[in-house]
Amino acid sequence: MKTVFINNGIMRKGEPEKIAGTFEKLGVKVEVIDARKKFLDALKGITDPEEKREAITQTFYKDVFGQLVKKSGAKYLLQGTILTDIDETIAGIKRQHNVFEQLGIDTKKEFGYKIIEPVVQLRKDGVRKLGKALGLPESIYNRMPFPGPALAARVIGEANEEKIELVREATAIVEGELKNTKAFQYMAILHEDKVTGMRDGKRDFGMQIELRCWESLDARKAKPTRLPYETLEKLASRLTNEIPGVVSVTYNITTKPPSTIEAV
Amino acid sequence: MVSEIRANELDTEKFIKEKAGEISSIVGNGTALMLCLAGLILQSSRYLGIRLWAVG
Repeated sequence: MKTVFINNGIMRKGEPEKIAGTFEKLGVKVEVIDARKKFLDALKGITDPEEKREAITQTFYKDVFGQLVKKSGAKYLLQGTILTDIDETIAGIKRQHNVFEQLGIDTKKEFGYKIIEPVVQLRKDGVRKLGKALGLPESIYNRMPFPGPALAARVIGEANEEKIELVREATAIVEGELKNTKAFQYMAILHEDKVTGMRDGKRDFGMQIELRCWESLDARKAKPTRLPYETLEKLASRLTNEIPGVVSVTYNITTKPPSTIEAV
Repeated sequence: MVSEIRANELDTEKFIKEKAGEISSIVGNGTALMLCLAGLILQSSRYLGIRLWAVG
């Protein structure tokens, strides 16, 4: 078995190093593959959320893994698809990047390898229970979910390098400030539309960040965390002062449904 | 159609044994349990760009 980490250029701040380090502590040697250019090129000019997801799916499975598999002669790809991924894809809510068979896609034919999904019958809470029972570190089995399209899912509209970098900084601030809330998931989302703001007495037509913080058990339903107003004020202050170009910060108070946890 | 196993109905020991059995029929006994565990780690830390792949 070979373990690889694909650095796709849309990960959070310091994530490739953190992940490789975590797995090394578990005795798993991880090969880091630098595929940043491939993913950023694939995302160029795409604004539609589903097209964005499809571009990432194709780059992952056909291009990057396809080549790795060809080089090594591997026959199987192991992945952690869960039932919620399948439900959301079949219902047409979001095309999760890791669902194929249920959409009638033969991965052997399409990509040259078969996919094994040992935890496909479970949801997030079941996976966590299993992880705990097996004695995995809590930092692994209780880790906050993060979307397949990574930070590209946190940018509404085209996810170019500049916007990814901006949302990466915003994510670091939000995750740092909210890490003690014990919420199910929290995030910063960069909106496509600009809004009028002001800085130093002058007009600043700038960007807006939406904050989301969710309470949920298995991601099927969720409600916004009732964050203290002081926390929201601190986040708004940090995001507008530390990230150039951001002039507006909002907090989403919609439940899932009708909202979804991620915006894209 | 994938059948759901709810968290409160999940017998972790039985689940792992069953999955190891299923996977061993595909890739052979030697790597089955390891793949099962790896799948779990993957899901727990999912969406990090990590994928494990096996030479079966």
